[in-house]
Amino acid sequence: MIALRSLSKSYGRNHVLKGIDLTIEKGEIHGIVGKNGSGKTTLFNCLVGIQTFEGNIETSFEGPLKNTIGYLPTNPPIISKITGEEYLRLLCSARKVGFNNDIDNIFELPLNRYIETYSTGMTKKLAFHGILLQKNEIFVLDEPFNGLDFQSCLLVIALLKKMKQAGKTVVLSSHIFSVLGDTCDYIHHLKDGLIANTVDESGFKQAEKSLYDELIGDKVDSFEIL
Amino acid sequence: MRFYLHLQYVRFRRILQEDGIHPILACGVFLIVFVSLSQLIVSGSEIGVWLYVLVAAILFAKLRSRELARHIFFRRSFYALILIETILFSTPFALVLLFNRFYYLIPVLIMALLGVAFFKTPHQILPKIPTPFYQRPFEFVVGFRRTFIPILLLNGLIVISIVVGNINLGLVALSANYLVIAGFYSSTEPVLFVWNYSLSTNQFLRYKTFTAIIYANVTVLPAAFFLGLFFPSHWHIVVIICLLGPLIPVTSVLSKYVTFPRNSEFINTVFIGFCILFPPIFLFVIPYLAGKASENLKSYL
Repeated sequence: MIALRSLSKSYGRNHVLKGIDLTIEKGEIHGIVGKNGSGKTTLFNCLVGIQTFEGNIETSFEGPLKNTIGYLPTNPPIISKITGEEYLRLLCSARKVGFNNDIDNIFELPLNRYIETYSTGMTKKLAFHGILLQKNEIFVLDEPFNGLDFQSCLLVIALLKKMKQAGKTVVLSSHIFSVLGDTCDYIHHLKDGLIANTVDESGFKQAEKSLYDELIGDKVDSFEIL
Repeated sequence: MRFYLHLQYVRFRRILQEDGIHPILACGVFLIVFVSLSQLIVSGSEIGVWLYVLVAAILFAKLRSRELARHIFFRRSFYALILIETILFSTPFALVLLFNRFYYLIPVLIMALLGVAFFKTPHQILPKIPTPFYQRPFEFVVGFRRTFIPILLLNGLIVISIVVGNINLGLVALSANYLVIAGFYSSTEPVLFVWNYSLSTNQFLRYKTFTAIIYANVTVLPAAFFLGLFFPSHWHIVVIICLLGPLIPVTSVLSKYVTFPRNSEFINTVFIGFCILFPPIFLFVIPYLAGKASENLKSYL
């Protein structure tokens, strides 16, 4: 279990998160939706411990929380002049996990090539593969579907379902509501620095419609294509 | 183009300000370190002077950042920019050569820098360079691939020193290897790469420094062994270099994490420069940097 209690984060006078309360049980998948700039990435950075915050995070996981989390940022950082295989080895060694040379290359990546030659989607898949190899208990995935091709999206959805079966805990964000609907147990709408609404599977369709009405409304109808 | 050069100056000033150093003080310290180290290399032997030119070319290759300029400027402006950068960079090195009366090496220096500036280095063309350091990525993997030519040249100089019977050349090239290795730690990795380690700050620093020492020895010891073998009367100097040499990359590792995640190339260079000029300083600098680095890393580990 991970419980965020009154988690707040400000940059100067800009209050990005204003007291988030959220409880995530082991083996659940939680989706976070919200507009660009709504604080999704800030929330993730606080959750994984990269950024400081006010409030606290309680957990039932053993040891420091960060050591059990695999974090996939929107744009995974890379180091030039290392190959895909060396990147995976680096991530494993950081968590003292043995690295097997005959890994199952599920994303069919050219692991012997330098990662600076990878496309955005390939980098994302490599980073995702890396945190899977780390044998983490919790996965925080910031826009995991950004930049992925259709096949890879399907693969990630299937992997998320398998991770749930294996009892892994996942928190992810996505702009594609249908993808969250396929994978999540709960979806939270982050708005004005707070969790404005939380729905379970039975409420996904209604939540999607409400979100569309709120974010899009009649903007398209009133826009003229010249 | 003038604005581009102005931006480079502004960037340099901002980097210093981030490190809390006044630009005038920085220039003063840099001048002292540069002149002292230059004299140390140039005054040794004539072969040392050639090594000086080589070091200048390596530094220039390392510092040039032309990808943005290549994209935003027309070809003629781009070449003019490279020419200006080359002149600015070569001036202090040329002045050192001038004052030491190595006039004939000034055109060699300029040609070497122009060569570095205009031509792609082989490691930009080769698809992948194998390294023996893949077990513990990443600094040595990346560093070796980026600087394998200087490492080859330095080890080539050690071979030449054995062939021609010049121990001084061998010792200088052996020491220079440690400087090149220290450069592997000159740039910082993204925060996430440090955050990923399930280690305490002290364990992390021990892991990094231990890796630096082991891999530095893997790189240098074979050449040192042959140097000691062929110059048995100087084996004790070789041993002293091999014992003190790893302290240079260790200083570089610790200095990097003192200002992490900001890049600390300037501070790093100054610390290493002073330590080389007065080696006993290592005794104070290393524990000081270790304490500071450990404190700084608490936010990320």
